[in-house]
Amino acid sequence: MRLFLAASACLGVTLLSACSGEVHQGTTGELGVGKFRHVCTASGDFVCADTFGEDDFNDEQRRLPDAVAVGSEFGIELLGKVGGSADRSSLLVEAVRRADEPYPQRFVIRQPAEAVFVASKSSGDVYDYVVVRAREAVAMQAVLEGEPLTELSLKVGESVILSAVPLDAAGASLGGALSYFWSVGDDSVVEREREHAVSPKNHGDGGDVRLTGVSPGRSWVRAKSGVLGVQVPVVVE
Amino acid sequence: MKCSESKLKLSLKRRGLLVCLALGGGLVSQACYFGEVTADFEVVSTLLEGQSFSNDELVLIEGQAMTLEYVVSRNGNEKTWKVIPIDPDSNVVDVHNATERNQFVVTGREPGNLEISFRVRDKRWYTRRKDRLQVTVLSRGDWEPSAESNGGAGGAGGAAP
Repeated sequence: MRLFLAASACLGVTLLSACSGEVHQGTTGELGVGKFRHVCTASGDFVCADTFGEDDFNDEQRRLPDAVAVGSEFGIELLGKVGGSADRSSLLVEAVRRADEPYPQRFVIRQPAEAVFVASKSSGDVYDYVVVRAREAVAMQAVLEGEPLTELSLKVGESVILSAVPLDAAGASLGGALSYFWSVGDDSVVEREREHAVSPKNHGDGGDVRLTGVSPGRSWVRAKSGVLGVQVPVVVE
Repeated sequence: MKCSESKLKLSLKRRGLLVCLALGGGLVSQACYFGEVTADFEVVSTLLEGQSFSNDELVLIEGQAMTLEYVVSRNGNEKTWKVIPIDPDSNVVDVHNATERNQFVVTGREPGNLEISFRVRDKRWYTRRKDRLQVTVLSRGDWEPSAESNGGAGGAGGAAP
């Protein structure tokens, strides 16, 4: 009986996501009323890295990352609709500081800060708000299928998607899309193909690249963003 | 003086005394009924970096927000009277009602300093009061990316307007 009750409880809670760590349910706002999700506005955002290659990498209720990279671009949406049954509507999320929102619904924080983003009702009342921390990116990491990569081994004809992730001073991953430039040492050994053409302001490459082994040999792949960079040796067998 | 005049004067004096007594009694009873009304601000959000609050001054950094609850009490009993926030028409600070009754979100839009106020009214007995709060919004300050970072115009943040 106890087992049955526990299983029932877990099933019920699963529907609300607590039994499954995989389900994204957004981030609860400071007022505890609404839930917000992180929106990847471009591919150079590690928060959406687990769905790279899919048609819609924003089709999840993603939690906000602990912090975004200074200068990166991101979006925030309020989950669900607000209001009575007759007038339910989606609320837009806006930056408190206008300069943090260079384009509507696209946010960029240009220095380390704690910035607030507010979902307001048409009456002007605040429905809820979230705090986003922006930290300086001081290092970069190459990631393959969610795991940090120090060397890449490929077979001839094999393809993988490699991502670049900015890190803060404590080594924590930072959300938000940065512009990247990818290059390979010897394209007769390994060939790169831009995975997503979209990046902030269509400038540079996305945060991920598709690499294909062309012929046996050694080479490297490099991602650069401003003065930051990461280089990974590649061995093709 | 005629007797009737003296009676009239006495009667007027008595009436005046009664009016005074009635007014005084009314005031005393009213004061006793209303009791002492107090109002306090409480911060209900987690204080962010650079934020501070005392009962008459609030400091936050531009781009931040703080949630305040305005607590009105009479004779020590918390009242749910209607509170109306008043913010001057400025780009510095906005005060918005939150969904929770008598909670307000103060947002710092631009650096500056101004006064906001909260007006409270008890509908039944017309107890009114207005409490003021000085708000200071600080600038985020100048910032230069460290040499090894890409926080500046170098490459990251291609979305510059």
